[in-house]
Amino acid sequence: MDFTSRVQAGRVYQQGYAEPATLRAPGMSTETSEGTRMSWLPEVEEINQRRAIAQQMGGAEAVERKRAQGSLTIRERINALLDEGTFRELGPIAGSVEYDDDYRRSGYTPANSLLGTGRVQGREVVVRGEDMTIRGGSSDGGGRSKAYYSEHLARSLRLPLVGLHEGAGGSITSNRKRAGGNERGMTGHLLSPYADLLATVPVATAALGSCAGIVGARVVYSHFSVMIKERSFLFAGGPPVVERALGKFIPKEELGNWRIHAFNGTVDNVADDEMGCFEQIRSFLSYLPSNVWELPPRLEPTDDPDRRDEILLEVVPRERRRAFNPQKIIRSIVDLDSFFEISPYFGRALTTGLARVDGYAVGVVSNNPNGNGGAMDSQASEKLVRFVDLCDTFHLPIVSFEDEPGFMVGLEAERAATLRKGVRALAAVHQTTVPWIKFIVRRAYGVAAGAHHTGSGPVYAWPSGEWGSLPIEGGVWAAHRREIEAAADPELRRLELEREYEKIRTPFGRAEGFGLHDLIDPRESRPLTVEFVRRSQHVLKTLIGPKARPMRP
Amino acid sequence: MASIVETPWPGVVQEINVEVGDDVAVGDEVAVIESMKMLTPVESTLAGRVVEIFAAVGDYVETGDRLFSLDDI
Repeated sequence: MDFTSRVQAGRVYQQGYAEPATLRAPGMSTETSEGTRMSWLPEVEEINQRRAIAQQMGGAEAVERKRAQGSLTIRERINALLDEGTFRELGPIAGSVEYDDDYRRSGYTPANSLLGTGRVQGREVVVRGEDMTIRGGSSDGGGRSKAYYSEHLARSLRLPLVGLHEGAGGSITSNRKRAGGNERGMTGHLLSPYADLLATVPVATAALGSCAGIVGARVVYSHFSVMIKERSFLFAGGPPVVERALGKFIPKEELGNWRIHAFNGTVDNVADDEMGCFEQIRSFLSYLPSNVWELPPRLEPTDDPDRRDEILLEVVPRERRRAFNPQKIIRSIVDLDSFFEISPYFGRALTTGLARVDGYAVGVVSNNPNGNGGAMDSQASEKLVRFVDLCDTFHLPIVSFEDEPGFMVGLEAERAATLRKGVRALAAVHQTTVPWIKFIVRRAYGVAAGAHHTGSGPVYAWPSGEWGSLPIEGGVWAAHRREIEAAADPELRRLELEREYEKIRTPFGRAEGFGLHDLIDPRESRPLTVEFVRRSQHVLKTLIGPKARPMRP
Repeated sequence: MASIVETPWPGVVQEINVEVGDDVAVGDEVAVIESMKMLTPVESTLAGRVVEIFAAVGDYVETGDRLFSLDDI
């Protein structure tokens, strides 16, 4: 059987693909020369044929359909994410091949999941993604073993895993395939590598279309996820599944859009398009080490370590009920243009993100008085847990700006289990081992005030800082009513007591009692932060390796 | 169909900065709610022309209460 006829008999040829180029060594005829019979050229040609077919993914028609939707193909996605020309594919010819009775290839469908290594800003990563042009990216499209292997690979190479996801997850037809066999292996074991993955290497994902079932779970099983506004939809079960389970059809646009998942904390960030997602993943990874056995890379510092922005002197309003924008403070203190906000829509009472200080990567946490008054509500608590776990896992020192009114109060807050979530956040903060620096920029009230520091680094207060559990006005009368009434001059006693409490509330009293490392001119905050981050480096070196308490998604 | 702008958190309405007939854009500061002793600006999540205002200064509102409704411009 000569090779050419084998290929021509194949389904691929019949489907109308261009006949793949035939590889010929110089001076060699593939059909008749002695050399061919002696060499492996026919097999090499078969490899090249299959590679060429795999490059076509689901075929010209399916690819065109995908493009018509305004989407990139998985190969385009991977190439757009990675540094140019760095994709090294693994298993490029994996797929299902049909053979005829003479063991001729009669059909070949590439696996619908891609996997490989490549570089992001010069640093190596493992990258994977579903191919929507073949069986809609479903997990029975021959891509399963590649998808699972990618987790093993990232873990063993100790490289970040980037998932570019889109797909429907499992398909009912896979039930039929597995019914009599043991393809899946022991129940549950295939997801186990994931648990270890988040404890050892960064995992960043993008939802680039509809992601349901296990594909949706892959998006969320990460340290950072991003979805596209109005184009990405995420759900545990898609509309047909929902309709059968609950008796109501809900279109995918309503069921799992970004207004749901960016606001409920399922997905961290949103982007306007696919390129925006890739850009955010590159940014996210730039702050992190490749694995927990390394420290985050330092970039050449480009900003003046002694920069003292005048805005810091007036950013906190003297009117105590007026809010301020915490981003103004953050941007004045970290390196210029280095703040990368994470989860801007969820838990808005708290602002979190990654940044650089003197070129070193740090985590930044700040109350946001524009959201729920900056209170520690249940969402902000969940956001804080996830964020400090990220910083602790990858050895990022934490810069904290406190304007804490306390746990959120009221009926809604009680219904939302604020104390449970809030106390959990406190525990998460105090379980971190990375150094913290805290600036008390205004309020530090209640139990929640303990969620901004671990006692492992400096605490500075601005002149706008204040402490207490109750407002002085009214609070003094409530606590000292009998004493005031019994005094010779009740009015004088009340004023004396109020002055006493005023001393405790202002940062001067706190500084006098060495309750702070220093009371500072807010403009000194950046130089002090630079000093802290530089000094933290030798501590961070002692923290490398996995934590005893691995991060959960 | 009119769309509804809702309150993002509980508290007492201190300011309503729109009137019926006003055009608002996403991100416009349309009200101020005092929550946790903080005057918290409320930004419109939608764009349109104000048709009806449901909340008044001094009202206590819960998350998700109706502030006002908008029609397409």
